[in-house]
Amino acid sequence: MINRKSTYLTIIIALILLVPLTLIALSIGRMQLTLGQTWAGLIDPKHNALYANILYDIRLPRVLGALVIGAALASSGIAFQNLFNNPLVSPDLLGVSNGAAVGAALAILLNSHLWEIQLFALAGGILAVSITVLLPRLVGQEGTLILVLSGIIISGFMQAALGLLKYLADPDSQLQSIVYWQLGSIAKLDVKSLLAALPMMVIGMLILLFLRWHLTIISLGTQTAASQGINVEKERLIIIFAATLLTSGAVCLAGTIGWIGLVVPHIARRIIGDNARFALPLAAIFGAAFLLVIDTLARTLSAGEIPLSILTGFIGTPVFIYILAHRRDLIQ
Amino acid sequence: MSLLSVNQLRFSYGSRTIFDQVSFTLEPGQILTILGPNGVGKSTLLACLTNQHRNITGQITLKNRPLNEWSPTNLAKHMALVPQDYRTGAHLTVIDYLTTARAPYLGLGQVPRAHEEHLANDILTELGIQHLAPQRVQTLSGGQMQLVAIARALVQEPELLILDEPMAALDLGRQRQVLKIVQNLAKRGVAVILTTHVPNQALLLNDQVGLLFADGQFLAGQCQEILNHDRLEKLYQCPLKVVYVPELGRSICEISQ
Repeated sequence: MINRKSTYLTIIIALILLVPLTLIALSIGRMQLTLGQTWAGLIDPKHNALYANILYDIRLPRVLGALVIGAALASSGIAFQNLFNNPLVSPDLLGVSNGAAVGAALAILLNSHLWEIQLFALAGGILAVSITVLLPRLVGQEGTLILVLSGIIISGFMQAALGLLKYLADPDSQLQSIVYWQLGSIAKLDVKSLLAALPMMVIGMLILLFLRWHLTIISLGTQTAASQGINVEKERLIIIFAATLLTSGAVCLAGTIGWIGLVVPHIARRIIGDNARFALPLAAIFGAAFLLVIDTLARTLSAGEIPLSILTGFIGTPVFIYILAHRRDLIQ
Repeated sequence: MSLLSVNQLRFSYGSRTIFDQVSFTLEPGQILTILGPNGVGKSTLLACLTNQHRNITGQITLKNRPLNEWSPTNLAKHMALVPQDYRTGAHLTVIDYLTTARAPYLGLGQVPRAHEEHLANDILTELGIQHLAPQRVQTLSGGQMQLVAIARALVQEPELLILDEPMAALDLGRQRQVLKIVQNLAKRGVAVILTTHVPNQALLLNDQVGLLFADGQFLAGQCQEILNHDRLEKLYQCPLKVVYVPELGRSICEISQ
């Protein structure tokens, strides 16, 4: 009999380890706090007003943002990988991130409200992934390679569209905010925008968690899943919608942060196996931890802010090369 | 009441008729072995029987109910198919792969628990491959994979098991293993339909036989009434000998020159 205890234990330990990691991240900054001071500031703000101000006003929104965005991108990645039975796809590679960025940039250009930016980002993400999925059918081919190529094409197109929007933007006000946000940063994240994006991300996450075992079955292929009585077409649309909700929410908050949706799911699967039922929760936890570490580095490594995509890129590429070298079966 | 009843089934791709007037019935515990040359449409026939093709004429009823009136979930609780191309689930462990077959019994959002894993484990034990449970599917040999694929179908607890060329790539020992599994299932009341290129397997199973000819005609009945020298030569368009072997207590079919 298979022992599941270690599987559940891995997820629980990872979840518990997030707590000290979060505390450490909160204590690090321009004003260095001890863990004791951080704890005191968090639980007793009245008597530790100085610490509490720094923690609640500056660090906590950012740390929470990193946790939420990291979890969202990694979950979205594992959902897409199972959906297409293709471990080489991610929200970035399928064009979802860039599509959402175009939607959000368009909304910024139109001086829209916060919720309109989110709606535009969602629409852009769904549009991009739809074209990416339909393109191989249009040219009459299928398989891992053509889907990845299609994603590269659509990402390229969306980047061009983003370039056009930047060209059209008002250089004094809009351009700056588009460029800054596009590079990927949660430095300016405030509680208000975090709370605004949270519902869509929570909904997306709940849908994926609810369907996490069906994700495993769908990864066996359409025919096999359908012969288990699963309505593959319908569930596939729901999963694409949920994963795009997560990616778009993340893009609204922090711009396009690359690599997390590709690399973190792989690390999670290596540890806990490929069953999405377990890999999804673990990838969400790892994603949260990964972005928290990256963002803490981004704000402490230098005097200024390092854009997140620079750091995730430098970490993500070697990890991806490692994956390609050690799991050749991925590329059939 | 027959478990499965097929009446005047006809299927065509465009203007090309694949098969015509396929009729047979199958009772619980019966084994139907379908023989036919390459590319004649055996797999297509199995796809029709599992409700994967909508544009058929004629009627297929399962438990007196037309097949197209069954919901996919309910149908999956009654019949299971092991396709010829069973190379899926490469990334999962065998036990995780097997429990995915419980999907028809679990509601949306539910996941397999100890009950499902026990069931899968019992079936692996029954087939003598319980040691494969923690292995990844992609590490299995062809023979092991075929047994695991059959095990997965059994985890679905079907009343009708459909196997598409289950012994095509297996050595004699493994072939015997699969034949024994089929016979044991039939003894327990499970109906089995399988396709094969080896008439000897039909002669060994000695139950129902269906012949699918290149011109799309289908002939079904008791093995001893159906399988004779002339029909087999017509089926495969080649000179054959059907010889009774007293030591085996049955006939065997061989190429004669």
